[in-house]
Amino acid sequence: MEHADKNIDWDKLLALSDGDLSGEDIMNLTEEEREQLRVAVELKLRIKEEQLLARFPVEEGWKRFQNRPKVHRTIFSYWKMAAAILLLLTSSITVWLFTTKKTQTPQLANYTPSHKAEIRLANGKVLVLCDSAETEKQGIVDIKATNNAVVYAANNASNTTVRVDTLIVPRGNKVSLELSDGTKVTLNAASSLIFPSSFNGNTRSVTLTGEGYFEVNGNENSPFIVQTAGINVKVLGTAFNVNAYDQTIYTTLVNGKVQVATPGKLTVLKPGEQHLYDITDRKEEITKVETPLYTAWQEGIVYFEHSSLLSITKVLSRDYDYDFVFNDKELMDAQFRLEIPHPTSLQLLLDQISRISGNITFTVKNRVVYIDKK
Amino acid sequence: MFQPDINRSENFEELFRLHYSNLCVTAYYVVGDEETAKDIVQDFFLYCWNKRNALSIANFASYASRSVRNASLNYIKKAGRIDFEPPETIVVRAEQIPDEDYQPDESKNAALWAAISRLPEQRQRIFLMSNKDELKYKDIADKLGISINTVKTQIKLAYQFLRKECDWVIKILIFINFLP
Repeated sequence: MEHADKNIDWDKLLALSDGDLSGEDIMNLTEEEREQLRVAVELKLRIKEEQLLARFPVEEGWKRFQNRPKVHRTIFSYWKMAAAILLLLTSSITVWLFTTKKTQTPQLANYTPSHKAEIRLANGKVLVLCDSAETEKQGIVDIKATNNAVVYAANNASNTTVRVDTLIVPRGNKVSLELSDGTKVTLNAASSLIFPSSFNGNTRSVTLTGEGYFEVNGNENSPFIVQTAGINVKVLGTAFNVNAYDQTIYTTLVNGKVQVATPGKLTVLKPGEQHLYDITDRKEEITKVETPLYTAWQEGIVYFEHSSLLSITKVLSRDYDYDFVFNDKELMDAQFRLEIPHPTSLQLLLDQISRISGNITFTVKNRVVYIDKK
Repeated sequence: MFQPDINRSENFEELFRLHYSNLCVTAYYVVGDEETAKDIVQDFFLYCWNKRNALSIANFASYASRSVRNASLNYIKKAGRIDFEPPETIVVRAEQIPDEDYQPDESKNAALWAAISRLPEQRQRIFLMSNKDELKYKDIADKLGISINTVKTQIKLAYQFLRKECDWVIKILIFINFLP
């Protein structure tokens, strides 16, 4: 099918898709450009979205249908709508085009996360971690998976093939994993670990993205190595935390001894020390830290010390699978100290921050929290 | 062929349960907002319920999917108005639109990924960095050590190719334009 490409100003459209958005540009699009933009938005949604079905549970829909509430729909103009979609997609923080009805009851931030953690086995099989326990026999290990815990137990089968499995933990989840050598790993939200189902070589090597807390079963003859995008952490029997979400990789040693290998340098850490490595400029640094601040997450404790609201919301968006939008940018720098053991919902934390600050309000719409000054 | 008598409420509930989530996803791809998608699908089933005497559709999945997609497209075009096509007209149109045109969203997405995989390697990489990893053109250019104009050209070519390969993204819209 031919489409009228000559009426499309690609420079303008590409700038729009890249998030350089201005209201004027949007109003002046040709029919063909609007069409192309709509197609681009749909392609992007299809590429970005996995397991979408889970976001539309039948039970909820059926209940709603039976109650048949009058549907309150906000009236957008198409271009406000398209702009709103693009804004959401590009995580931009402007929401001036978005006009919502004032009569709606406020939503609470108490959704359960939209995705479940899963293990991708070497043979292509996928185990989704859900409430009912699943057991899987795979060669020389038995895998037992429940909602938030996975255990790899060595059995007595005499098969020596080592397979490599992947545990994927999406936003809003946290999973504890016991490897076949007895090493315990807690994986934080938005993280993954690639690991062999059993260990039989001179080294025990796993690959981490995101954040993990490791309690390694000591074995002099077979060092345990955690690989991330920028560094390797070689373990000599110990408990430590690796945070590799962003440009800077933080390795925090609780007890024992680890050796951090960056390109061209080896550093041995002592308990209470934290190693920082910047992937881009390859700078590294060692500081003394209060380790609980970096390991509290794996016990389910929300713990921040003099942290900016921006850095807090970054962590909360991973932990609870919500996005945050600062309508008032000044608030990004507001400093907080928070220590809340086992909060049951994000709403609880938002209420707490609101209360401490006295001048911050949070408005929840679906999976987005908008932050304003009172 | 399965022909539900949706006049009976238990059959209606069955239809609802069978198609609700899929239809929400169909709407979501167009409107980009979860709540709006749910509203559109809820309205669609209300519409079906009210029209249940006239509704006797051989292939409900195909009718529902088309109807919800068209309504979603209408919604974004016509500033929030939702119109569903009367089931009678669908029966007539069924002769004009071959049913092979109906593809569930999973197979559309699979087709999209297949098309993406047919892009030249560099173009595919750039397109995904922009659309999946949400990197800015400038960051992509820096990362790959190429000029920002090369990035833009590659993304434009990717859009043109994908639009041609995945013509269902626009197909139904054209069909809509023929509606009175």
